Amino acid sequence: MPGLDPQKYNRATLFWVLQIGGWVAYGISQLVGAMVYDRMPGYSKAVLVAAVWGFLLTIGLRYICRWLWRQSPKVMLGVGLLSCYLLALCWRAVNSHAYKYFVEPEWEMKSILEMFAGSITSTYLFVSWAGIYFGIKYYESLQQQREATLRAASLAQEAQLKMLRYQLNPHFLFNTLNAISTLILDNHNRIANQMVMRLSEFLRYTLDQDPMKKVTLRQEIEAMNLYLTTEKLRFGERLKLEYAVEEGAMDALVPSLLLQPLIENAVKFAVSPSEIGGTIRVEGRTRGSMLELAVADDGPGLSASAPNVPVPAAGRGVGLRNTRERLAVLYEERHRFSTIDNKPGLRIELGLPLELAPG
Amino acid sequence: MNAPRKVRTLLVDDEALSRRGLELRLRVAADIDIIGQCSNGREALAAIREQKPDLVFLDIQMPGLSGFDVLAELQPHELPMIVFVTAYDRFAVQAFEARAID
Repeated sequence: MPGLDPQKYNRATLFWVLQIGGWVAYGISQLVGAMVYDRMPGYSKAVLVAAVWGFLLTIGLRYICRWLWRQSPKVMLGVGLLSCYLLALCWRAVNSHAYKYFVEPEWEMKSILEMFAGSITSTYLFVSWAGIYFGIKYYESLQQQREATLRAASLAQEAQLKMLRYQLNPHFLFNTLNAISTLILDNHNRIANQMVMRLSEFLRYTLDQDPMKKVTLRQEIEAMNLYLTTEKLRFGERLKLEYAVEEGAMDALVPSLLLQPLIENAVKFAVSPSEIGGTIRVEGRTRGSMLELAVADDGPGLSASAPNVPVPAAGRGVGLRNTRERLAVLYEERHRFSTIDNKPGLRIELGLPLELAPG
Repeated sequence: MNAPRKVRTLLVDDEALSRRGLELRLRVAADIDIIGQCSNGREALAAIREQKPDLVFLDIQMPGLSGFDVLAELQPHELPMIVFVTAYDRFAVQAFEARAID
């Protein structure tokens, strides 16, 4: 059926299958009962009338139930029971006539009260019908709610990760562009071009990344190298780098830009404020089912506040806290994060579950 | 006729590339004479006292003594004209409070 919502289509089909199947089952059970008790001929016709009439009445009940679904529980219960009784009365009236016509012409109703009283028994049938109807509808809405909740939870997690992801420091961009401008003025075109290429690659890595995506440690370190060689141009010999990454750890997966805020912090707090500069050391290795990473510097450590850094950038804690929260969202309990303040020197150690890139 | 006296200028910045940038850009100004360059506050303080420049391009964020620390050390009569060099807006505002000329 083109142009129709498949879920709606399925629900309509389900209704008709249950509606037809239910009343056929009702008819059969009545007939079997009649056979057992050896009832009079013509009874099957009366049963057929009852089943068809019940089938039609409950289609009406469907519209009543649809309306009731949106009402308060009180109205739902009150109007629902009343509707069931009235429908049962209609059903009973026709059934009585059919019985008299097909089965027992001489049967007479003793009083009209008999009909009102007898309808109470039939009401159970309609109440059960409404019960099944609401039961299915309730189950469906519960299912939808559960899906919506799951979707909301995963959206919230993604939003949180986006927020915690590394955000490019605008001063880095500003300083780098100034440096490139000077290189061009100075006619160092080859170096200037290299810088533009590195900056462009690094920007692509930073801005293009899906925060849910993981990259190999090799890719992450290459990106950090793009960043650090750009910074090295500014700081020259004052910025010294050391890498101690085991070859086996290179193919392990890490959240993209995990190391960036740690390295940026080290540049800002250990290299930039020191006249002689500083050394940044990046370590990586696998230990059992863990990937262990460390970023260490020989700066003043956590306790000393950086003297010449403006207040918004002074919070070394922000970068550390974001990294810690990001790991908590991604790995829950399955990670380690520790800061070791060597005074001087700060060492940040991370432990992640070891995941290897496929292939 | 004597040539007009040039503005004796000192450049102070911890990043070599920034100093080079200033130097290249000041080179086109004929009345500016760059008499020296310093890469930190300590050297700058000594150079200002020794060479008495007319004008100092002073970086604020430097290792050791910052640009503000240098100014705080100087006596009012030792003060040259100062142009602060900074990438941070926050510093720029602070600089005007310290009576920077630009």
